[in-house]
Amino acid sequence: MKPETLVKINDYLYEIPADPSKHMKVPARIYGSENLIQNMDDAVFRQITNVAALPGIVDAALCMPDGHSGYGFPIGGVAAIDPEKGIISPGGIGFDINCGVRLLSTNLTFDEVSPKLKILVDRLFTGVPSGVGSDGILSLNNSDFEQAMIHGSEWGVKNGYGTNDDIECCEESGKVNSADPSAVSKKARDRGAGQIGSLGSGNHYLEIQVARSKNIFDKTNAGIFGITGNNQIVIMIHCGSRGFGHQVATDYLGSFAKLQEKFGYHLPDRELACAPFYSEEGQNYFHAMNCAINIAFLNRQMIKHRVTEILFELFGSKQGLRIETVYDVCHNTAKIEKHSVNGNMKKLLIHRKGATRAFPPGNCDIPEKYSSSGQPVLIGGSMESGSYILRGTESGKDAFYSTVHGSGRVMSRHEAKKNFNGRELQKSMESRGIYIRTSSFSGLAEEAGGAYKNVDEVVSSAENAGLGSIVAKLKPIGNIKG
Amino acid sequence: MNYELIHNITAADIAVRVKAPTRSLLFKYGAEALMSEMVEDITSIRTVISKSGSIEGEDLTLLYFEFLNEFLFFKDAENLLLVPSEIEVSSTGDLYSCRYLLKGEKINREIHKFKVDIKAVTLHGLQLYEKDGLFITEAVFDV
Repeated sequence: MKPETLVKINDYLYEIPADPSKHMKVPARIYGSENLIQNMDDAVFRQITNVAALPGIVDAALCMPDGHSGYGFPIGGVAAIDPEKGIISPGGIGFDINCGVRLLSTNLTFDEVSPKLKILVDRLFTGVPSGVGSDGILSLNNSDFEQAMIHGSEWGVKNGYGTNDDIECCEESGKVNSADPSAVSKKARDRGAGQIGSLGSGNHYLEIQVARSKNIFDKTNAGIFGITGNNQIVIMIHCGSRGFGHQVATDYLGSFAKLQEKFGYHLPDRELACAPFYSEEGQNYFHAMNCAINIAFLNRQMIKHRVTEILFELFGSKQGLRIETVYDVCHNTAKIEKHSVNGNMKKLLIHRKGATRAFPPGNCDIPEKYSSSGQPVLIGGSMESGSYILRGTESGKDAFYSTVHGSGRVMSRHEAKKNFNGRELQKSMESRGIYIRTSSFSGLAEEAGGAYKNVDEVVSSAENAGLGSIVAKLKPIGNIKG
Repeated sequence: MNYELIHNITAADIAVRVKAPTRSLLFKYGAEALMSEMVEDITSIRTVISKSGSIEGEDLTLLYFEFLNEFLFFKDAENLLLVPSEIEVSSTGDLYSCRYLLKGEKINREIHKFKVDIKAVTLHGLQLYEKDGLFITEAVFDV
């Protein structure tokens, strides 16, 4: 049941007013069309209400139109925290720290790739490690691993796994500062050192997509992003920091949970366990979390490098074959950013969990070549429906320049398995021109398009709510599922 | 199976409820639930490698969280699929301890078929309580 206090602010924004009896310090605001709001699972409203109780939260707890229930924060949750007075919470970031998406543009066309599509997908399936128990492309010794934690994508490029253009086209240039390996446990190192360059499992994927001219909705800005239409082939990579990030989050969540009395916090959900940002504990987590952000950047860099090798192996005869990073976005992070609050610029710690940063044109933290367009925002839809490219706009200011990250689930994993059969789905998708390989047919059923919201409605809601502007839609033709 | 799925807690992840007559069995069944939600048939895991250890703490619920996370650590760090063999949960004053012997083998993807990877045991809605002579836990696993 939706909360009785839920009020409609406008056609794409709803609010639960701050209720001191629920310890809410600010209102909770949920973006989306009426249909999306009506169909959101009820736990989303409970979870975003809990987020509004976090110490130091500024303005409002936010949930994006793709919001669905998770743990601690809802997926799609955003919280701006005053770092001087407030906290950092591992549950506001998630276990898969810097789970994110990288999009690669190519100058290959559908006609060129189509005859070799199955070979390409098979080659990517064997060449890019995926699924449970897969080792990564790289296994690093402790010294190199520490350098990778500090330098992220840059470490990969310096060691021959990419180009400087890759670094330029990542959030934070593929490397956040304040990453300090001394804050990382031995367990996290042991868990992650062998997994760099691997997709993982669950909703992670590597997808071959087509940009058709009819699906380019903003030709000027698509051109700036290197998306030309004309049945251009692009590749989308969705993965995160793997076991390394999972262990960093587990370590600090467990230790913060034991410290809530000491900090005087009485939060409604233990998953929101937190520490004052500038406490020793808070800073240690921030430094370790930043290491995991950098490892995720490197993970996607390594996969991009392997994809490039395979494309050259299969299509290298094409004169001037090009594979370029369009952009690399983060979904699960907490970053210090400057935002205007009531007319004053403030330094804020923006927790985004299953949400994408969407900086507008002219922002100094996006690549120069995107200064007129705004940041590319990469929205991974389901493997059946397609994905979108949006761009950040000034109208996203009230959401701390945040937007959707995907379609958002409408069906639980259990329900999806009851409704879909993995092997049948694979066959059905192939008949529709989408060739898919997976490590788990059970996992494939959980990721069926019908388990997700309608991505068209989600991105349209985001645009109508001012959370970015639609540039292009990308249709899948091949997919590797972890 | 000594567990049930709980619906309406999370759409993206897996929530399970475990009941057992003793704390030691509760931990054992909880670990079996975790592994069963990840591996299609946990009886396919041969028990040829052993890992033993002990953990302790003042909060039994957090001890359960820590114990289950051990299985996920070994899965990624050493590519080991483990199942609980001998589990003993005891208390002295305010301190709880869990001594464990886990058994299993290296992941072999020809033999072990996976449903999904579980990234972590979360604290979301994590409960451990006693009711009608049974120990009960509810936990959400992050997928």
